[in-house]
Amino acid sequence: MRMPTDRSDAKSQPATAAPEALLGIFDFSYQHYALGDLLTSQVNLAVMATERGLQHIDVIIMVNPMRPGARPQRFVTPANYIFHLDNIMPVFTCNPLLRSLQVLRDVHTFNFLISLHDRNNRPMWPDLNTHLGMRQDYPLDHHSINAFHARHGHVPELAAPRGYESWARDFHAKELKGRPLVVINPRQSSLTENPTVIMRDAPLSVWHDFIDAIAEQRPEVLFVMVGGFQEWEHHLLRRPNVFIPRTWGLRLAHELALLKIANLFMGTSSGFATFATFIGIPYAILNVEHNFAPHAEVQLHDRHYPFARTDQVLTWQCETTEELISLFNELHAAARGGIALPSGETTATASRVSASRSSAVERT
Amino acid sequence: MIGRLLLRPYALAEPWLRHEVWLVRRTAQAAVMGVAAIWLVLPAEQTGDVALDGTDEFVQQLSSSERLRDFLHGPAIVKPLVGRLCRILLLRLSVAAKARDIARGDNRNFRLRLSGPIDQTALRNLLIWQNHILPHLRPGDARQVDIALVLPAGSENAVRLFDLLSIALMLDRVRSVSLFWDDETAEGIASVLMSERELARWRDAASTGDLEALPRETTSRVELEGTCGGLKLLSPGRRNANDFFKLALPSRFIVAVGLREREDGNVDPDELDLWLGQIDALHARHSRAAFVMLNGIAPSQWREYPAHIRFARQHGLSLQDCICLAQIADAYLGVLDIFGLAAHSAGRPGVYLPLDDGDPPTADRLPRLSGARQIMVGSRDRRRVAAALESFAADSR
Repeated sequence: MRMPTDRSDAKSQPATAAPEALLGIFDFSYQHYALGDLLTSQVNLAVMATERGLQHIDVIIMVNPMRPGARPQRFVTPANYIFHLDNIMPVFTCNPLLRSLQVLRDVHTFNFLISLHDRNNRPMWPDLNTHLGMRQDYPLDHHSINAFHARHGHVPELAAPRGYESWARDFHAKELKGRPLVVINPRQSSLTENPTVIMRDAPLSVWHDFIDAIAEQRPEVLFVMVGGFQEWEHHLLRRPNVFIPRTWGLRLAHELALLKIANLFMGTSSGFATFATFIGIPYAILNVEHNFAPHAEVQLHDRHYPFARTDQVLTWQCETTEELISLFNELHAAARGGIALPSGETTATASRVSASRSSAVERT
Repeated sequence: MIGRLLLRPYALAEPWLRHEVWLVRRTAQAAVMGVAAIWLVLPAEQTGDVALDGTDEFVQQLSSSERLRDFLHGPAIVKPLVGRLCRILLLRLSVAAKARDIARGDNRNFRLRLSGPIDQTALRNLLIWQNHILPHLRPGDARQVDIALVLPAGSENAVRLFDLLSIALMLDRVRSVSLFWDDETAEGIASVLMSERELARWRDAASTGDLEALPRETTSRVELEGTCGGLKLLSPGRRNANDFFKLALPSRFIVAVGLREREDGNVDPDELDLWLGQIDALHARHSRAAFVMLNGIAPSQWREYPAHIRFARQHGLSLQDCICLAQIADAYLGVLDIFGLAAHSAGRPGVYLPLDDGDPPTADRLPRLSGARQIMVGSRDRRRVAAALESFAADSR
């Protein structure tokens, strides 16, 4: 019996038509279930699509139920991968250009689709060659994003998970009484089931003292503690100026939507910090890992990313209560006054860096 | 013919790729590399006629092989080259398998649309579609299917979108699931995976694929008889539910409670008030019973509830966890939504009410008693509900 192959009979889109969409591929047999990296990938996809004049992004998520996790994430198994997948699904709908989202659990269908895409010379990330290498280097860098900023003066902004922003505004007005929202995420990996790099965990007592100090100074401010249900200590619940979405059945999609409309984000360098980085709100990202500096194209102890505003701040050491209060006072005041400006000096640095690099986006 | 000759040595060699004996390992690796190389240089006409039974499964297994991945990611100099050849080979085998499926009209693709909001009914109807509509669309074929969910254009307020996805991922017969926000995109993208005949069927299925408007006779029958499984009992959900029972409600008789919800997924306040009275009455008769609410609750709805009432979501349980909880609790009270259907299918004793307004056509019948003391009230009439609860309480002594 004659069987069609990828070279012969398979139906295809007309290769001559101008492509409208970029295909983003997330194959979890080698890519990671990691909030921050997946969010950075969404920005990278938006950068690529915009640079190529494409209006949309189609996303394919491939999970092979028999091998659902990458080598460094062996805790993702056939028995629990649905739990991990379910947890990170909202990330993909934060992509501002998303047109479709496919979750494939069949290797043949996935290979057929990407082969067809490649054969028709349709743009996709990663390209087929890179994909066949089954490797993704982490952490994801900011090269393309910085270059885009140098060329256009802005970076693509992530959206709230699709369908959730109006919920967040409604919830904020009705359930949270419209109080100023400061979203916090002191990293606490040691409380989770799979602790990693626990030396990066935030000192919780410092944060609790900070929250209490602000309760006296600014009692109207409501701290929204985001992150896994395990990642906070029980006495946080007793504080009247703290709201913990996970204790109300709310999940990542709700948290990201609340963060999108928040007045300020303060937290450890992590997945939520990545979202704050790309949604245009004031933030303080604390204790950034020193080895991330070259990936972000900044110098150690630089106060801003190249594309950041003056009210979007990085710190490079473990936080203290005094530092948190100082940052809060600086950034919350700026948020209320609307006085943020592009962070001039670092922007100029970024321009220099990007100018020396021709078309960084093509590398991805 | 050549394709068959090549696949056999490949299948023989693969299990030995990481063997501890150097000679065995290297021989297997050389065999795999040789097969891959020959395969790639052969013209498609000679390799495209692979029709061996089990070939597709073999490619699936090889694509999922931990040993192969570890080998390909190893440090040796030649591995990147070998790895690439193997990956290209697998890709080609895989594409051939899928193209074969398409050519023979695999009929695995289905479009489901939502003409209204994603609410409790839509979430329940996804399971009903799988268990009661799909078997008619694929008589005699129990294989998994791929579904495309087409949401209303401009669905800016779809706060239960990820609940819908959570449930889709738990369904026994759903393999892949796609989200689209308009029909044109859905058809454009999905059509490459279908033959012309299947595509025509896909287009025609609109009448049976609206999750807001499944045939009334089907939903009515489910409200009277329940359904038959269809949801996985996930390991993490089972563990989380058990942890919750053991930590928060040790030694108690756990009654899961599922009530009607508002559009945002939180429990309907009027319904909650109504049931709190019933629950207190039941607790007065059975003091060891504890009642676990599976629905969400908004901060503004919160008040101090008695110790025998808990809200599972407040203890960090997700929707998937709560569906698993319903499957392993000691009993269930409430509506036949996704929780109720999960509990009923798992044989939980309890009192099961219709979710929809308006009594089913056979509501004038007496409540049905199915196995394991499952009372299907078939009506939302308060007197009938009270009688069913009384019967359940008496029977539980």
